[in-house]
Amino acid sequence: MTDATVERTPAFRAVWREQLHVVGLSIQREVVIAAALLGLFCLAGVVLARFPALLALMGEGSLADFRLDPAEPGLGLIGVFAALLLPLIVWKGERPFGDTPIWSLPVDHRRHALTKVAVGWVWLMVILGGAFLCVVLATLAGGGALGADEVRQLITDGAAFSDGEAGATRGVAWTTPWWEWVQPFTAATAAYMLASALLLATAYPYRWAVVLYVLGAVPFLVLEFFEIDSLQRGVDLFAWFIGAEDFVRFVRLPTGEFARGWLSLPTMGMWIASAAFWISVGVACVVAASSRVRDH
Amino acid sequence: MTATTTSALPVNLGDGPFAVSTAGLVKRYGSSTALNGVDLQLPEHAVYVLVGPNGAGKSTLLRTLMGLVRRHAGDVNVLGADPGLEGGHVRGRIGYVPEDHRFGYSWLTVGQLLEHHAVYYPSWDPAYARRLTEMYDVDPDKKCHTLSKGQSRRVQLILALAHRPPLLLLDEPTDGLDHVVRDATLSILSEHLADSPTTVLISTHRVYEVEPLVDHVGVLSDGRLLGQLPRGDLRGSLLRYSADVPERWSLPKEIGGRVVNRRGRAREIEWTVWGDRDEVTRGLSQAGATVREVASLSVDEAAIALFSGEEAGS
Repeated sequence: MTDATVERTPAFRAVWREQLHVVGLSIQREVVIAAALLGLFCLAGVVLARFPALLALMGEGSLADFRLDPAEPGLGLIGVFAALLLPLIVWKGERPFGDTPIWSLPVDHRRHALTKVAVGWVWLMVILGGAFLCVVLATLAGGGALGADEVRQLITDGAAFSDGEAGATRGVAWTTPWWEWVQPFTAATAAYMLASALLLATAYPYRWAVVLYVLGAVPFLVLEFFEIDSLQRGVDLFAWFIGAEDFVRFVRLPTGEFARGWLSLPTMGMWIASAAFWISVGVACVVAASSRVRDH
Repeated sequence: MTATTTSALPVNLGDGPFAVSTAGLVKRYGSSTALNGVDLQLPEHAVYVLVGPNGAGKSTLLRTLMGLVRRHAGDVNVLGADPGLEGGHVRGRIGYVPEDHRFGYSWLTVGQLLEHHAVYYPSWDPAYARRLTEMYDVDPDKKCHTLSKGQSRRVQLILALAHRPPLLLLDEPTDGLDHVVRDATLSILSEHLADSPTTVLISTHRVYEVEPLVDHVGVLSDGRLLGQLPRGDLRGSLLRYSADVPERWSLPKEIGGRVVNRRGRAREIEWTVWGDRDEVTRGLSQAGATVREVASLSVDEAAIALFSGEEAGS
């Protein structure tokens, strides 16, 4: 057999499988630590839900409304933060720029980089899925409910609501829609793609992350200062998409109690539009950034 | 007193066939030029040693051949393909030992790292990889980050050889190896070359360590290829002439342009000159010098004379 007849480059499927394997090994330690912490957290939740006396001993109230709402602000953010950090672990031991082993392998650099990013995303979905499953099981084990099933007070008169006047809202029946369970995954996907693009595009991703954070904060400050409502709406939509905003506003009633009202209720259209936009931006950034590591 | 000129050295090895060739290759890092118009010619199945001092551009040249760095000008042909256009295809036919000892996946065991590479190289020979692992006395269960410099180098050599590539690019392959392992490596490489038709490009500034294998020599200095030629030509035509000269004596013009290195004091002078032995001896004698000795140089001595202007042992 002459060298011309010897197959010298691997099949794409083999590269994909091997990257799944090696990225799995690279994230193993961090995933085990996170899983242990999550397990402890869930176990504590179940125990406290099942034995309310423990809460009383701790001086806390009871878990009267123990439920898992995927749209609860903060919950989705955990996935987004994990997604922002994951590329650093996926690319552990490799540098997009530099003489690291991945680039010496017999695969087109750009395709290899995109494969690695895609493999990291698969692992992100597996990790988030596992974490969600764990929280869901813990909620059920603790006797809690999954999702919201309630009447929400939609604010119809903002000024009146701020003054705590009656009749400023109208009740709308609300049950957590299926897509709210998917939303954390789409938000994490967009975050992961953007973070991966940053890692691929720059030799100093940490510095650029700080620069982008500062640059990103400027519009918020400008919007706050000039009260530009139309742009504020876009920022709110972004914050909602990543799980940092639920459009809820609180007002203190004359009785001293707090009332909760919704500026608006999210729709599937909002979710699809936000997810399509941010994931497209993320993927486009990854594809553009991968040209930085192409073969020379 | 030393003086060096290498304009007389040949840089053209003929019409080939060449496993690797570059033409006018230029690579810059900012304002500094790492490769300045390099015309490398690596004949098929040759063992070509690229010598040069640290910072000469040897590693950059090898990385360019691998498609790892962007070139600014020039053409590169590696086994019939341009690594800038067909990088994956080219790298699949190269066994590469990089200058850096570190592994990317330091958390893998050696065994896992070998399996990882086996997936990427369809031509991987598992039996040969096992044999090399045994010959190099490498523990497959050891984590890569626990390996010493020498052990890492051994693993890198296994990774480069086990898929039996038609081209080996070895960047300081003996760096970190002790004498015993270095000799073993030369034996392994000799055996490998006998078993598999392979072209080898070795970059080193310690030529004596690989000298027994070498049949072609290239000299790189400050990013320029000063010369490249078969080892036999080097031994036959680059010679050290020791001579006594009269006062106010000067070197004949026809020889002066071919002097690679000159040292000595007063009337006892040594030149390293490129050219026909009889012609140079005759030229010196006719100019009034008394040639006492003409000695051939080892590849290592020649390399040092060429790139440093100071001969070995001076």
